[in-house]
Amino acid sequence: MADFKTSSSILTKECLRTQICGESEWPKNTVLYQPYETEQILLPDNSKCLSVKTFLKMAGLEFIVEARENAEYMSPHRGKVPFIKAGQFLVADFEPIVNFAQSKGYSLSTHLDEAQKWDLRVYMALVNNVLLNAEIYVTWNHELTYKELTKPRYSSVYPFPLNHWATYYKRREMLSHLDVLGWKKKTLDEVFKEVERICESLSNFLADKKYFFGEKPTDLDALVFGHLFSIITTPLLNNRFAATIRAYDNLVQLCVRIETEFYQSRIL
Amino acid sequence: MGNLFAKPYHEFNIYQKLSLQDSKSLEKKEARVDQVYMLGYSKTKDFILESSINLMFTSNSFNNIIKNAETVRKNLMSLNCFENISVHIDVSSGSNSTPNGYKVTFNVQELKLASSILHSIARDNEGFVKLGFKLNNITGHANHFKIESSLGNNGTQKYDACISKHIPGSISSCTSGHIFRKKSYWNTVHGVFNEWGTLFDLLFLASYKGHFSQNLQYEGVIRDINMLSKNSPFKLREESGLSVKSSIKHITTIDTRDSKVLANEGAFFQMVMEVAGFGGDVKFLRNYFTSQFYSKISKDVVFQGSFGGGFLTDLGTFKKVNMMDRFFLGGPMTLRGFQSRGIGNLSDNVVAGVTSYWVSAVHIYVKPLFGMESNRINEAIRLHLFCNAGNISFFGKDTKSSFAKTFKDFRLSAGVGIVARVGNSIRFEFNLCSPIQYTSGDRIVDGFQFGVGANFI
Repeated sequence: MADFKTSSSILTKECLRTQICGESEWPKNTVLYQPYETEQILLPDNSKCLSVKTFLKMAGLEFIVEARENAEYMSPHRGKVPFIKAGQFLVADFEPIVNFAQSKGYSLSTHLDEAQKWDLRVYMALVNNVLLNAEIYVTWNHELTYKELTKPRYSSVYPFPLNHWATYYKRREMLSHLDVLGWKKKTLDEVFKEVERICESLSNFLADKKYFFGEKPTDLDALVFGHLFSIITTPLLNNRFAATIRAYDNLVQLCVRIETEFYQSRIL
Repeated sequence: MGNLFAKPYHEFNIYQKLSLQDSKSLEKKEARVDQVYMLGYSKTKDFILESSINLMFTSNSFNNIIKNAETVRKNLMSLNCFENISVHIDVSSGSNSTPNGYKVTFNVQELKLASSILHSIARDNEGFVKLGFKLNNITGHANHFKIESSLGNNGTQKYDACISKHIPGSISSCTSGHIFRKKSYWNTVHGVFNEWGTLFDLLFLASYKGHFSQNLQYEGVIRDINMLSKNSPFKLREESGLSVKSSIKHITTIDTRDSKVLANEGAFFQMVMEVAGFGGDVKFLRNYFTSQFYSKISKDVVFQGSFGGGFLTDLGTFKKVNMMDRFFLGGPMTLRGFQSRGIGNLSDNVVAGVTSYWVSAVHIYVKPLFGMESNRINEAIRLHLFCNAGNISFFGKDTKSSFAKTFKDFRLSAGVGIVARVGNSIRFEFNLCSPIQYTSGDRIVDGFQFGVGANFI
């Protein structure tokens, strides 16, 4: 009985939350928290941060970016960056943020029909499953990249015993994540083959349209831009990852288009 | 400890049969110790015991012999090598004996090499069960090793491996090294803390009645602060994450109380100084102290006055001290009538621990069976009237005004209750509290409050 009571009270709380979410406007002073861009952030986090920022810009939602060294620990879902603080609400990760914006009445996919919405979901899942995991693979599982880039960057904010400690635990967590998905035992070639395959299907889907679903940008554009742009611009040990993507001209053009439209200051 | 004391007094019984006059004359009678025998030990090395036993040869009267024998017995027990020790004092005989000579025999029983740990303790309003095992006196140099885990009813878990060594002498000391991992929940301030650390401790115990001790500690800890829920105040959430504290701590304790929990007379004073910043990323200077004073008003009434305070100075430039370093006030054993760490307004985004505090208490204890001879109930339970006052503050640049602010608008509470002693160090309190003076945002308890712990005000 007691359990039922607490669970029902949680349910009421959640209902109340969504209700409050639904009623009010996009909160002013929304802050996006992320790790430090120049010295700390890693490729997978950077892609996610860029995707979220692009989505918010596309939807015309105001936000301020704040860099914190402990962003991943501050996040309501530990380890997931970026997260936004909108009024009282903390929302982490790309999809929950998209849903949150939708509950406030801001969505980029309202003009799509049912079939297109399915496509959108499928491609988003594909990007999350393949590109994100490939980034995690390169960052944490590729021995040389881990030693030369990941470790110095990730541990840059910690003092002596903690730098090894924190990196070790983060790596262990990431590797077990890859292991569960069956990515850990793949070779680098296999990973790049997967990337190539998804790039090809994205490229075919985009064809010569302006965005994936015509003239208006959608969640998928934001997500794809976040990942591709990060991969292209992040200096890694060799440029094989970037080169794989650069081979698809219309995807690069998409990045350029989004970049010039929403981030005028940056140059590809 | 009770049965441990009983053994030497057993010896007194022999003399109690003598008339009072006889025993008086015995006390004054000149005496010297001719021989000291140690029986029953095999593993313990001689030199560990020698320095303790040397005290026996300084005795000059019979009374003195008995006193010294008791001190030596206590010192030997503190080595943690023996299960029990009995003392026999006899007139020495034989060719080497002197006219007023005595021989003292310590009959010891060594602890077995391996033994298990299973007992309960209370700390910080939480009861713990300790499980583990220890290796006693591994090489015969009074060195021990133990591994124990303690589980608390609020979810606190602690795993600790400890190696320790006693160094007997005129100032007896004990060094120990710990490796521990701890997880604790501070629900009232939304914190879940994980700690992995090492602690090196050097304890000096002045032989002067065993009242005065000093600890010098080095502590290196990796701390991980996590939040209880999504709804935790954001100000607290900002401090979550990993940090390293590397600090040196000095603890001075003077304890003349006749009992650690329900004292009748005596005083207690403990002062802790901690400097952090030898490596690690938090730098601070932290001082805090507790004092208690007991006085017997009549046979059944005891008065207790307590005062404590603390002060923290942040020395860091890049990283600020976090909520694990700062002070929290309130709780059923300190500032009664408030929830544990319940003072200060959390939703105001201000109080995630404070940099200074003071707290005081006045108790009047009454034995429940008024006027009766001391019995078990009177020894274990007391009724008390209490009045608590305390306050928290952040010391600003203007020391004078912030000092004045600290003593203005303080928190005040009063009440009655029952205090019970369990074992030698656990204190239970069940109080009816009424907060008299408090500010909005304080989480008060107006009514019954239950507390258990070892430290109290």
